[in-house]
Amino acid sequence: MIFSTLEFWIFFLGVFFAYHLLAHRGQNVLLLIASYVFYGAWDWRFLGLIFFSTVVDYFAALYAAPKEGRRPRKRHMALGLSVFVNLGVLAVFKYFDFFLLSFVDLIGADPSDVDHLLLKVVLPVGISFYTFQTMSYTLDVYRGKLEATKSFADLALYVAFFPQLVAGPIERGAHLMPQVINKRTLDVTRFRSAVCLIIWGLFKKICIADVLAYPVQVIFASQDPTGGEVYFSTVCFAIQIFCDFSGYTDIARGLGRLLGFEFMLNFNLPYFAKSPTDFWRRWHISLSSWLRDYLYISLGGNRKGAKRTYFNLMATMVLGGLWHGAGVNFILWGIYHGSLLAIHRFLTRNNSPGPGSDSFLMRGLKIFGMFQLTLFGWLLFRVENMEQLSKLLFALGTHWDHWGSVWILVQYALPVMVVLLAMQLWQARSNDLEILAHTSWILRAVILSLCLSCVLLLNRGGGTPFIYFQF
Amino acid sequence: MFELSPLWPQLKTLRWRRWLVVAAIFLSSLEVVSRLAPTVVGKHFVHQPYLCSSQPSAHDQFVTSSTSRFITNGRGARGSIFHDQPFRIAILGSSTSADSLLDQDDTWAEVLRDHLGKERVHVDNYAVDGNSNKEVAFFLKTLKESGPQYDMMIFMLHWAKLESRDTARLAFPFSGQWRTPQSMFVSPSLLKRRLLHQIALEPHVKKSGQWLVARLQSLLRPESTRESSFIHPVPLATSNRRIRNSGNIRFQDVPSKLGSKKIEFIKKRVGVIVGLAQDLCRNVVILTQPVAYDERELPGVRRRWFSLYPVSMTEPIYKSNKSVAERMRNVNRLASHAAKMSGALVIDLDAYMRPKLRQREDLFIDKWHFSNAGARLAGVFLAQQLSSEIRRKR
Repeated sequence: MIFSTLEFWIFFLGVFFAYHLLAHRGQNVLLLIASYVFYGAWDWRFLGLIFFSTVVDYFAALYAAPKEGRRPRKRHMALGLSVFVNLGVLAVFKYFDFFLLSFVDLIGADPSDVDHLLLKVVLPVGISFYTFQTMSYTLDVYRGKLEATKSFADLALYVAFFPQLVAGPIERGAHLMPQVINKRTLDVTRFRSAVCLIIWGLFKKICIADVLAYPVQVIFASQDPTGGEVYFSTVCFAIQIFCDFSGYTDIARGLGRLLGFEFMLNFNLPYFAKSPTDFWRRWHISLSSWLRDYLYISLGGNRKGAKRTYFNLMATMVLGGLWHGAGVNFILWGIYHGSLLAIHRFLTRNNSPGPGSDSFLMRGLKIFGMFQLTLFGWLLFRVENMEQLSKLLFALGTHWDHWGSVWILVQYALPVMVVLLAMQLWQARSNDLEILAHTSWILRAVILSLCLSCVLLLNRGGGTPFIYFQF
Repeated sequence: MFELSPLWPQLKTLRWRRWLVVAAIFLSSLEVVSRLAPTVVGKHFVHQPYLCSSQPSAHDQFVTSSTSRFITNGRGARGSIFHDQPFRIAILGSSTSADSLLDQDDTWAEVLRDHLGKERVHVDNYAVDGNSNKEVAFFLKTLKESGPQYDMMIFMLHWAKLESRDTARLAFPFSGQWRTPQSMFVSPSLLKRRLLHQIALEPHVKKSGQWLVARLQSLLRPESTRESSFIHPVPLATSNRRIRNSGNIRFQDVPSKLGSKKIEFIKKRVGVIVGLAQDLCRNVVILTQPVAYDERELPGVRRRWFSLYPVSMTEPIYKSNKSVAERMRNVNRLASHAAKMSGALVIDLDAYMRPKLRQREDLFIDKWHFSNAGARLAGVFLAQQLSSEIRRKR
């Protein structure tokens, strides 16, 4: 069930109306059943996996919680068990085949020799998201930020809550669990803002991301692209992946809000970032802050000297890249962003902002420069193999003697890009990401009506999967 | 257990007059988007609703529909990106030209391009599933306004239903009807199409929807329920085989002769299409529509399960294969004559394919649409026919 399908909305409306007729415990039971139905609709076989992960963390958290008289060793072991099982599941389902084949490739052996060892399992949808979210619960309990829940159903709902189950935001135990445990309310104001988020999210997914998917697919699959085509299609991919992922997040946040939940912010105008550090404070915030809090800081952060800081940055970003998928391109993407962060940190180690550094022109130049740096990262992210990467880089470096189909692609993609840019400028200028919900009712009605009309009429149908579902 | 959410009492405080204004704004927006979309949205977006994929799919193809893998270029046509080839061909028609059940490389348009030489010839295949020849005519008008120039246009016109085709099940079959609405408002019909299209694409919704429709039909017309569920495309619906075998359907020979009105209609329609095409390029080619009714099957041969007609509830009697085949060949004959009179080159693809049907059985998926083998045969034949023509006319 994908958010852009009729099937999902029939399902959700049923849940929504039933939910608002039930008392708190009944609501939680309903949401838990609905979440398992939702996930089972993808592939019911993986329900066992999510249940297993919940059981392990339920008991691990009970023993990892700080308690008077409980030995630290016991708590460490409980936490270790949770981390081992969760990462183990991830390793088996997501990384085993990749690392085995990479190792075989490294030693120069024939891949067919290890064919019988390959698991060849289908990747469960959203495994990386709910694994990290589950681990976050146990870690927060271990750190004393949260009490371990006695209710298994509450934890099961926390792990499997359907609006954010398959593509985040990756919630923290300390943030979401209290909302699960305590009574939730919904008023008309929150209802209105939820509807705004959902419609704008659907518009970004259906009318921008799915439209831009087309030139990206054409050029990346092309045998002989020009440099201009590669550059422009990478711009399209940058917008596509943003609209696809942030569209999903907006819909998820809106759905959560309709059910009385408040999810964390995942995107904050990322292409308005002025530096690599700024970019990672704005892009996929739930993952980058997870990595920062649970990995980077655990490794020592910036407390152990400059060299160790650079190493920590690089290690965090490489693992962040690997989180996205078992592929060399994701590792390269992590290394690239790790390097950008390290270089930026090195260049700004003693600098304080000089006069004029925050002028309109300077800000514009910084934003433009950072966007160009981001584009190279997206090129690494989007390619399917190294041959494709070398072909595209070759075209980007040498093939500028003619523009190919760039003008056609610009004509095709520009209208939707302009709509996105206008909205983002409005959000940035008003310093309010939910400006739609806060503007005058008549303007809101016009904008949302136009967006919804486009969603209803221009959706090509079939429920194109969100890109981040594969992670 | 039950507790009313505070949301419901708050709804009473809403200002209903304001909501009426909001509803009016929404309805106006639907109408505005319906009218503006064809001019501001990329053509392929409107013409090819079946393609979409955010993720790269298998075999290095980047677009998959529910039945095939294909590539569309920036003009909305199935075909590769234009790379300055000296000779450009446009193909127009319906599913028999789109070969929408085949992968792109197997379609006759691609085979034709391969045999004419990829470096020399570029082919844009604008054919769309379910297109009527009326929609083809509209498309030619669009090409005239804003489309690229072509050196040759090839048409395989669809005459399955002469007057009109029910394209409501396609979300965006073509913008022609959309841009010249018969009624004051276009959004209701477009919204209906979109909804039907979405339902068709979602198996669970479709299944429950079909169940509901069947129940409703059984209430309204209890005796006709079973026959009306005989759906097109025939070979893809396993239920058809069951219905056919059930003996509930009567197949009957009906006169295949065309009436004077229909003869006039075909002549006029062919004349208009050829005329419009000749305004755009000098070389206009009309292909006859091959119909895969085995000659041996015609008189007195046992009827098979894949008879096509009728597909609508209003025709209670199912025509026999023989009737369909004879009628189609009458139409082909007439259309060919009209095309020749208008100055188009006619290639009788049906006459070429017919003898092959005696030799092998794998040329068609059903009675209309080529299989891989059939598309290859047709593509090679057309390349042979057209290569000298192209050399001569270039």
